[in-house]
Parts: sequence; C-alpha cells; structure tokens
Amino acid sequence: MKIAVAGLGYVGLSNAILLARHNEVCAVDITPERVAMVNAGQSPIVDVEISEYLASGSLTLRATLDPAEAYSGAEVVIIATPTNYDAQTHAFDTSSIEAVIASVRAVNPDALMVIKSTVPVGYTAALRERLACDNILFSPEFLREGRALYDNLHPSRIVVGEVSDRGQMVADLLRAATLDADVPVLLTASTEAEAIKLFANTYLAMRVSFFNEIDTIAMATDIDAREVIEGLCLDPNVGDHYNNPSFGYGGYCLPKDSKQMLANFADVPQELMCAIVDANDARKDFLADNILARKPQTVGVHRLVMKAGSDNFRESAVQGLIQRLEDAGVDLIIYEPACTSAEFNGHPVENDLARFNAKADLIIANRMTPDLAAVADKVFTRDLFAAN
Amino acid sequence: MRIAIIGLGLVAVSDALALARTHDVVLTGPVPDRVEAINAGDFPLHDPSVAAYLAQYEVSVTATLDTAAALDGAELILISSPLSMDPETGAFLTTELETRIEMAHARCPGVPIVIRSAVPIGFTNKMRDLLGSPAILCAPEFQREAQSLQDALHPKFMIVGDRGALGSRVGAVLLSAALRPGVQMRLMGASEAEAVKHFSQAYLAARVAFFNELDSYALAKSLNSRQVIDGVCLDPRIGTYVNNPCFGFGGQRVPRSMVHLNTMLGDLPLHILPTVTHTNNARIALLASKVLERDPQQVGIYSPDGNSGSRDPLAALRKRLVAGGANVRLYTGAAPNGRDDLSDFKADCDVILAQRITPDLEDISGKVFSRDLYASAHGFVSARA
Repeated sequence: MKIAVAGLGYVGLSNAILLARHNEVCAVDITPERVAMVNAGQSPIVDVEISEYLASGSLTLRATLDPAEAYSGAEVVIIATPTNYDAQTHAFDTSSIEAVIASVRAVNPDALMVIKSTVPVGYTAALRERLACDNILFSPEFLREGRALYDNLHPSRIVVGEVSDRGQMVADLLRAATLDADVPVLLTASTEAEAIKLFANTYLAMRVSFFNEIDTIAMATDIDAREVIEGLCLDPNVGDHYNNPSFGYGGYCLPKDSKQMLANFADVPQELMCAIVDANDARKDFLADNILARKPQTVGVHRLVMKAGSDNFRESAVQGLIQRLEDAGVDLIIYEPACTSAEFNGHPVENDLARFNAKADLIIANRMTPDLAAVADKVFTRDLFAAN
Repeated sequence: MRIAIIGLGLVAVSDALALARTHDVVLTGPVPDRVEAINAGDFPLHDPSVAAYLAQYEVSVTATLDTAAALDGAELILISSPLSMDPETGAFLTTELETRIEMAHARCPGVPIVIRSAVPIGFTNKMRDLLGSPAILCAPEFQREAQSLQDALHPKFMIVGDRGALGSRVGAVLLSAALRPGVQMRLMGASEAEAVKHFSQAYLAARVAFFNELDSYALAKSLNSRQVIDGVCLDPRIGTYVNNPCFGFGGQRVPRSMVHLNTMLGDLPLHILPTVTHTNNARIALLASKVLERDPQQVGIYSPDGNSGSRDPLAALRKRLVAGGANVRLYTGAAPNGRDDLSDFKADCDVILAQRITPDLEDISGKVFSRDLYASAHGFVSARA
C-alpha cells in the first residue's frame, strides 16, 4: 500500500519507519535537514531503533519537502504534525493538522487521513463536520520519547477512533507492522479515542505527582521516602515503575495533555484533574523554596533534558525551577551537552563538566548521573533510584 | 512457636489460621460468641476458602476471653484491632490499643509485639519510647475483606517496620504463614511501614477518584465511559484493576487513611492527596442531577449490605435527592423476619440506584441507575475496601 506521512518528528518518523517495513511510504516535512537526513539513512532524532532501521536500508521509505509528491496516489495519509499547547487559548494549536488536510484534499481527495497528533477531546468529530469531510480518522499515539519506534513495534494497544471497516483496516495496517503477536485492538468512536489518549497521560501525570507528594512529605518530616516508595511498590498492582521522585512531570506530553484535559473539563465538575495540574507547580514551588533556603551563590543546572537518552528539553521540569530561581535573583549556569549555544534563556552554558562543577556551589539535577559522583555533596536531586 | 493474637476480627483470624499450620496460636478478645465459635472450629471469615483450607491442613488455634492467659508463654504477640476515629478531628483513637500494648509488654517483657492494624504514622515509635522497649514493631497487613485468608496464605509482599535483627526474626515468622516461598519482604523504619499502609490506601483512593472523574466526564459528555476506561487501562503502567466507576468511596479503611494523611500533612503544598479525600462532592452532585433529570416518582436506593455510615456515598446521594424534591426509599437487605421486601421495593420505585449491579436487579435493569460498567464480569473490585 502507498502511504504518506506528514511530519518527521518522533511520532511521524516512527510511524513512517514502522509502516515502511511492509508498505511504500513517502514522508513530508518542512525542514530540509530532516528530509535530507532521512533520505541519507540517518536519524534526525535520538532514538536507537530509529537509527538502526534507517541505517539498515531495508525500508521502502523516502522523504520529501513537496506535499503534493507525498500525497498523490497515497491511500492513507498519517498526520503527525506538532500540536503545541497554547497557554493563552487553553487548547492545542491544531492549525498544522488543518493545513495538511487542506493540502491532501487539494491533490488527493479520496485519501483516508489518520490523525496521530494529540488533539482536544471532540476535535475530530467537530472537524469532520466543519470541513464536511468524513475521510478523517483519529488514532492515538502512545509512544515515549527516546523509545518512539520501540513503542510502536511493541505497542501496549492499538486504538482507532472509528468503528467501521476502514477503521479496522487502519488497525490491521498498524498491527501488521508490529513485532508482537496479539496486540490488543480497540475500535471506538473518535471522541472516545481522543479521550483515551488524554486520560492515559493524565493518569501517568497523577502517578508522578503522587510519588512526588510522598517525597515532599518525606522532605518535611523525617520519613525515608525511598523505604516508603519501595514498600508501596512491592504491591504488584501499584508496580515498580514511574515512581522515582523528580522535580515534576515534564516532557512533551504529560504537561500539555493534563492541561488540555483540564480545559476539556471546563463545564464538567472536576477536582482531581485540576489537582493534577496544580500539583506540578506546587512541587516546583516547594523545591525552589528548599533550594533557596540553602542560600546558594551560583546554582549549576545539570542537564535540561527530561530523561536520560532524550535530546529534547521541551517543557522539562527543571526549567520550572530555573524560572523560579531566576525570579529570586540567583545566578545560574547550565550544563547541557545537547545545547550548542553559549547561553540558555540568558544563562551561560558551561559544557566543560569540570569547570561547571567548580563554578557552581549548588548543582540541581533532576536525575543523578555517574558524572556527578565526584561532587555529590553539592548536588540537589530528588532522584532516589538513579533511573528515569 | 506459641503466638498470641489480640483481636478476633478478619485479620486476626486469617493470620491465626495461616500461622497455625506451623505454630500454636491463641486468639483473644472480649467477644464471647466469637471465642466460642472459634473453639468450635467455626471461623468467622467472609472468605469462602476456609473450609477447603481446614480440610487440607491441621491447624492449632484456640481462642479465649482471658487475655492474660493467652499471653502466658507467648513468644510472639500480634495485635489486630482496628482503631476507631474521632469523627470531629479525624484523629485515630489509640487509647485502647495503647492499653493492650502496655498489658502485653507488662506480662511478656521482651517478647516482640507486632502491630498489624493501621496506626497513625509515628505511633509505633511513640510506644517504643513510652515503654522503653525496642520490641514493639509494626507489620501492616494488606488483606482484602472477602479474601482475607487467601491473602494471608498468599501475601503478595510483606512489610516489617524494624530494620534490624528483630525485624528479620519477626519477618521470618510472618513469612511462615505463606503457603509458597519466595514472598518479597522489605524491612524498614517503623514510621515508614506505617506510612506504606496509608499510602497504599491513598493510591487506591486516587485511582478510584480518577476513574470516577473520568466517568463523570463521560457521563456529562455522553461518551462511552467503558470504552475510554478500557483504552486507558490497556497501558500496562496503568493496569486493569480498580477501575470500575462507582458513586464514590464507602467503607472504612480508605477514608480513614485519607483523613489521617490529611490531618498529618498540615499546610504542606500538596494537591493530589487532599483532593482525593473530598473529590466525592462534585460527583455526587452530578449523579443526583442525572437521576433528577429522569423526573422520578419514587427513587429507590439499593444497598443490600446495609448502610456503611455517614461516609457512605449512597447516604450523600440520598440527601441530595431529597433536597432536590425526590421521594427516596431505601432497601438495606432482607428483613430479619424473612419478609420479601425486595419485590415490593423493585415494584414501587421507578429509578433504582445501585453501586453495583447484582443478579437481584436483572429483572428490572431498565430502572437501574448505576455506574457499574463491568458488572461482575471483569475487574469487579468494590471500592468499599
């Protein structure tokens, strides 16, 4: 089958590779460097499996800057363009999706368009009505940054937002591309599929906040957070994952998805969704106060990325701390090998670790890493398990 | 080893039966009927597996009203007596427990005293200091009401609140209750062990509150709530347990732990934990409005297990409905005289509220208002912990 993929970020690239194992895939992006790298068999993002598959030469995949080239003749167009959360309008900015749809309809009106980008609940149904176009489906993406392709090759489930033959066809297409047998498939109406994605991420945000609140309590009392969390997580229902205290939940999905969820609740009585959003800010306030109480002269920020293995610092929790410390007038220096400029938000970047360690009298690190072992007594972290 | 267990409740009796395969166990408490029943081999548990267990294993269990006699010669003492709570302040009432610990300590100096019930965080250390005895420790139980014996025989994990040799020794005895080896045990500080118990209840409470809020959303937006929950829970990090919506928390343990945590937390900048405790209110209001939308002549509240007190969400719903002008009739189980009230109740009411859909309601399913999405088919976990 001929398939087009719009967008070469985490979601688009992993879906393009996934589907190009058995189909002819043409991916389109607006960034010339990304297109050139994919065509040269190189990954524009940090992801082990993506790099391996691109280098293997086993895929029928090409990339282009020309939307018409990609969309012409495609039976299915996967839409994976970014939908950033707009704090002013309290909604995802879906304009990139609508631009793709307009462009597809201009060259290939019969193509079935599958939205993989995260959208507000009810978006797809409203869009189909507004555009008088029923060739649009939503299928949520459940991948993690840094493991995007792995998570698509081994998905926990495939959800397609239409109970129909072509909904089943899309599910079959995605399932055929996985490496696992018996991946659960769920066909739902489009609004339910959108809600699944946002509620799942909001649950995970709640979980992160729950363990962070245990850690906040431990910091304020003399209770050992590590013992409590290890004990609690022996219960297989609670499980030993997503339980390592941090500066807050962050990254590309959890903050924006939980905020979008809250905005979707506007006219529904809710308390917990609001608490999940508020908890993350309160955690950063609490930690910033705790850091400021140590009266540091120069605070070193060790890594801006959210997780080890990621090259992406969008919405990372440490940035909330940077903002708060900056507001309190503290001098900051940044250590971030993935950052090539001399400054980050006006703070000097010092990527020579020895010099960074020497200049800072307090180092904040969302995750403890071996390279900080020598200056461990300067480090402020809430990482209990040296793990993501 | 001779083990004395102070308490005659589900946890005490389940522990006793599980330990009595390899130890001599004496239960003690001030309830003559129970003592008599236990001595007659009739163990007061809700767990249906008791008979099969007793048929397979020889157990050495007796019960007595005389606590002093029970304690004589004991090499280990377990205390399982759930605390009541001050309804005004939310504080646990510990006086009675303190008296029992003091008595056990006085009669059996140096013998380890293990608190199995949920106690306020810091309680065990307070008792250690008060009595000058390091041999008081806590090892919270994690048994479910209807499977207490099974959970005692097949514990998923074990927590012992003492980091030293005493903790290891007591842990080894508690592990001997398990039918299979390989149970994970974690030693930790006493306050930490107490905290694990409360946070474990809080985690469940947060889950229940989350799925109820998801369900409120689905209800308000006319979405298929079950599909959304199924899709969310297929994520193995989320899982398919305790995800069936209900009207709100009932029962005793979860609200108690939440109230305790909240009184303890004071003015810490927390959101999840405090919210989980009171998140019922908005849901009750939404549910009541959905019931009133049907313009019912007679609303029935189906509560076959009786009323579980002022925190019962059915009581809160009833209050709302009455305030909204509805006539409400309550069904709290078969009358003692054997009269069949249920048929009359079902005929009389045009809307019947039920936390869980039971076979009793099948013939009038069109009248039932419930948020039970899984009935008993799958994931049936009552929120009444």
